[in-house]
Amino acid sequence: MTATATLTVTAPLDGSVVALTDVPDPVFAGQILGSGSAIEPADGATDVVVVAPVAGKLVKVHPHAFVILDDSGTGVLVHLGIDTVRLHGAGFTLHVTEGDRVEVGEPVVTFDPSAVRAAGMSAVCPVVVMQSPADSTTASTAAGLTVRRDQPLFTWAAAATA
Amino acid sequence: MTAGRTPPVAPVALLLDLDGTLVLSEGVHRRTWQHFFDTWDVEVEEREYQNTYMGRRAADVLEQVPGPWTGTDLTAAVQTMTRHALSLGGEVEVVPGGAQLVRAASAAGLSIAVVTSAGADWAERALGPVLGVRDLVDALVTAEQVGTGKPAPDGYRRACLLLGVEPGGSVGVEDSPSGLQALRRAGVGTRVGVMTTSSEAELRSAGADFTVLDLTEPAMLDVVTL
Repeated sequence: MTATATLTVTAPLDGSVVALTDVPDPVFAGQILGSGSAIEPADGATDVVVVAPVAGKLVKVHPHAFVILDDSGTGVLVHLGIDTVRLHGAGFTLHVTEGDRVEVGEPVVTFDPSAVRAAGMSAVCPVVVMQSPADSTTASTAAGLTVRRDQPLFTWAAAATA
Repeated sequence: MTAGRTPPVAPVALLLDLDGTLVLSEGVHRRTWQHFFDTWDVEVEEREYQNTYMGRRAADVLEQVPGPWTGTDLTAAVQTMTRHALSLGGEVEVVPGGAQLVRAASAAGLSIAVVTSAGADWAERALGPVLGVRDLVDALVTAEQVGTGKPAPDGYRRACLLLGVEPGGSVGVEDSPSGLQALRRAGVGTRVGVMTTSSEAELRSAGADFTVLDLTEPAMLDVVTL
């Protein structure tokens, strides 16, 4: 075993924590993109500011999802709602452009969970360490509890077995 | 995934089967096989057809499955089947979302390969005139180019070599159990089953990480564009 730094991923938005395996999407629930957690915005929430959960470079920016590559080369994905690629950006306001560097807590996008729900979609927001093995993250805030943005959501340590 | 290595952020390649995954030509192939069975006066039940013949190269099946054709010149028989399939080519339907998926993956910077048990004539026709994505396909591996067809991993391995990518960092899409077994044996990292011809249970037990009804599902797009 080699000692590796532990990555702390903070909550990118306010809401209640949902286990990734309970997210209504086979890709996230099956941890196909990686391990992590999810946050359900409060009922009636409209202008929800979504901030960077780690510091790093924004390597992918869509209205409904973004990926930050941290300095160790680990990618963290935040996906706003389920199936929201179908909204083609309606109800999402970006504050960044692809390639920008962001610090923890810096606003990335503002979105309207009520509009997402009104369109018949789930507003739950998966937060995932890209390509990490299933169940490799450790919750800092357990499922069912509420979390405020910038509070620790989960931690992740790269597998160090050769 | 290799432990101890910095994981890649996004997939590097999209590997696609053709028949049943991008185009719904199984009806054409089924009729072509039926024509062959009728010619040899043999009866093949649907279950046997699905388990033994479907999604595989005619040359592979006929060599392995004993029948009245055993010991005859299979080259001629296979050529006859290809001609028959091409004559029915106008009846091909496309799988919803297939062409869009190829375009989205290409725009996201992924390399794209199509690996098919069918011959080059058929594949060129399906990717070109039918789907209109031939120019976005970086590698096309057809029946003529590999020693052993699916469920052997040879076709997908060859596609990754041609693209210069690691199978583990690639996404593969298949509709048949034999195709998913080929993806798994080739070490393809993310395997998607399209339920056009088989059930979710069949596809999962053959190696699918998840399944979609067709290629318009946002989950499919997420996997290649995030």
